[in-house]
Amino acid sequence: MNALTLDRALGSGRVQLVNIRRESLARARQRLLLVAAFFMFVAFVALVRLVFVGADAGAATGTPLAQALLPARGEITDRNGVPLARAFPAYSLWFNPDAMGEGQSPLVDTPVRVAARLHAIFPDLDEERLRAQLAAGRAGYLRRRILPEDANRVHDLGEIALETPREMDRHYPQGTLAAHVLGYVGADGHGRLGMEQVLDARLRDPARRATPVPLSIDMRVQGALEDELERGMKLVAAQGAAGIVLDVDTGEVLALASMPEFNPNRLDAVGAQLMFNRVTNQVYELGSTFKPLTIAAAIDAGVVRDFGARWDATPVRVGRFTINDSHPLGSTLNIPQMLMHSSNTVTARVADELGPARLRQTMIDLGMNQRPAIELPARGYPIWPGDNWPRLQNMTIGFGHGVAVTPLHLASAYAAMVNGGIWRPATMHKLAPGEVPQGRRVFKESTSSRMRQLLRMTSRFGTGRNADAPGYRVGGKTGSAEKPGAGGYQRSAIVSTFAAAFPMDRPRYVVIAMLDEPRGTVASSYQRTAAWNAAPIVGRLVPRIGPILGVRPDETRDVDISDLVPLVPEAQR
Amino acid sequence: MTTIRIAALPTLGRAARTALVLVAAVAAVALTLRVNAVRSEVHWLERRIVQVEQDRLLLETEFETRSSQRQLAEWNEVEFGFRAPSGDQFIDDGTQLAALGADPARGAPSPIRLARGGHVEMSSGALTELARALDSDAVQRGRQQFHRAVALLATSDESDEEAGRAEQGGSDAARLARRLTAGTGTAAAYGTRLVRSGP
Repeated sequence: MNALTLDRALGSGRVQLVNIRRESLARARQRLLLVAAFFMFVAFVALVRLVFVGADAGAATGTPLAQALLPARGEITDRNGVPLARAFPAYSLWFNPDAMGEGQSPLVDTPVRVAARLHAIFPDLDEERLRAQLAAGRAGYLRRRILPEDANRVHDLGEIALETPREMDRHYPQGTLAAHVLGYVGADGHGRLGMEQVLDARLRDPARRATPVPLSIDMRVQGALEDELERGMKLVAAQGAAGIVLDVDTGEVLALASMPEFNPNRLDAVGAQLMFNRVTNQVYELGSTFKPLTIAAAIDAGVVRDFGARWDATPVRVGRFTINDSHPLGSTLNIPQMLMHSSNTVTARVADELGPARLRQTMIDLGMNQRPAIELPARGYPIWPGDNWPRLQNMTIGFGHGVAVTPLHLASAYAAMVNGGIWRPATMHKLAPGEVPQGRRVFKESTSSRMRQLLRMTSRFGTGRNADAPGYRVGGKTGSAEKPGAGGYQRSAIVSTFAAAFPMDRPRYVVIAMLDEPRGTVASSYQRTAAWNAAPIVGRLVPRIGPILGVRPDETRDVDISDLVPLVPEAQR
Repeated sequence: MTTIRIAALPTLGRAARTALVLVAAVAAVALTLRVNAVRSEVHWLERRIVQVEQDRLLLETEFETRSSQRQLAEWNEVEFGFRAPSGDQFIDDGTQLAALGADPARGAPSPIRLARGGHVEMSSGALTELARALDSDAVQRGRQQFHRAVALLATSDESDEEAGRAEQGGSDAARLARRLTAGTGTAAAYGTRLVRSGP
């Protein structure tokens, strides 16, 4: 082997090496480029995605703020904005056995101990059933509604399977207060019974449900009315009671209560039986509270001009029938005395002289032949005696028998009688000053002024003395009517009513209190008539609501009855 | 100025122009991202507002429910006994108000004075007096005992054995324990424990 051969061999090997080096360099560069291109592509895709995501985030994700804040159903408030019905997200307690994962044990602790701890938070839950449900691993509600603080306590148990989802709920913060006015919302989401039904479309309308609907109700007055009615009802063990406070100038209903009440937050079979509204749906023969209306019609028609004139007060005989007073009141009475002692005989004679046509027209003008004028859906049709009234029927209607109306009819009629003679429909809506309906004239202004005097006389010196709250100038009339039953009137079952207005020198509000089948108890001195059970309710109610409604008690002020006092010996004592 | 710049553009090199476009594009993307970041923050805040509003609604409703008219009337019946003011409690004007504080007229009967224990400063109002009464030792002791009793009734749940043992001792404490729980339907054991934990 010589040097040349060696050199050549080395030379070709170097060439090969150089080639290999060049090739591998090129390959490496190619790979690097590929990797770089791949990374650049990934970065580009990420960037594009980023831009897309960023641009997309600006578009509407989820619901806009205004829509999210829109309540599921509009709120109902009282006239001062206090919420009476609202939809809000409430907590419920739900057991989700799959929360820990499929096939896993749903609870961290034993069902027995979890049930015991839940029972400590909710003492009214049945621990046995709770334990059974937790042990069986059935998904379901453990409780429909829980308080936020209880929800926190449930979270503190550390059980993931105990969930507290929020659900939209219709809640009545005041509980049973004004239940008959408000009604409730059924499972189908539609309102039932009260203003929930009347305002259903308005409360569900997305464009309008953001603003609450104010009712004419004043929550404080409503509370006082229900308080006093309930107390009065319990004192005389009455079956039920009804009450209403009405603004005489606008027809706005400040309070309307039918007792006993149901709880719209908890609807059950017992509540369903109590949903009947006695104020607008039940018709009663309201008895002597009709007498002032008859007298007003007679004054208006000119039949009664002279208040000193004596009217025959002996029993009235019409055919086979005789109209008597509850107790003998003497041979003659004048009109103020007649109202003070509530004489049937004198009223019958006044109605007779007035005649059926004119009395009937007055009753029609007062809306007694139609359902009561109010928005509530449950409105009773009066028992109206038709077109031709025989003489006897005209007489009995004069003192409130033979025609059955709702207490709301009576309230509207009394409002017309004391406000200057204008009848206006009652309303549950809060009225702005310009929205007050014009109404229709039923009585003359002068008649209305006389009636204020006469009603004040009755509550100062007559049967309404128990309603005469000092300083509030209450005027009103009692009425105790026997309830009709099988085979005539029942002597044992009566409806006692007190219809009043205050303050009588410038009437602002009509108050009606009615008791269904009161009994004679110690509290009512063993009496069953309105003077002893319904009148005291008004007497206690008026001082509670007067200052709230802007009526200041003033013992130095009163309606001027100086021209009538000399005609009544009882008033001079 | 603008025309000059536009005219000056072609004079720039190609690389410079590309760089300018790139910078602009990067700035645009960055700006978009920033804008959208702010937007999503707004969305987050809106969700937060809705959540807070729902919480507020819930709490307000709870408050309204707890302070419902019926509940207040019940408390008033049991605790406070407030009544509607009577007619003579209203005053027409300043003159009538001033008349209430007028010196007694000549020959008027002198106001009836009642004896009372302890020294009371003349200037102290009814509220101050009430506050002082509430701070007194006797009331504090009573309050402590009450809290102790409540705490015991709330926590312990043991049998009546202990009470039985205490009664066998015939001590004053056992008698007191019986008296404390008399008529309440509570196990005598609570009363015993209450007495034992006494001061």
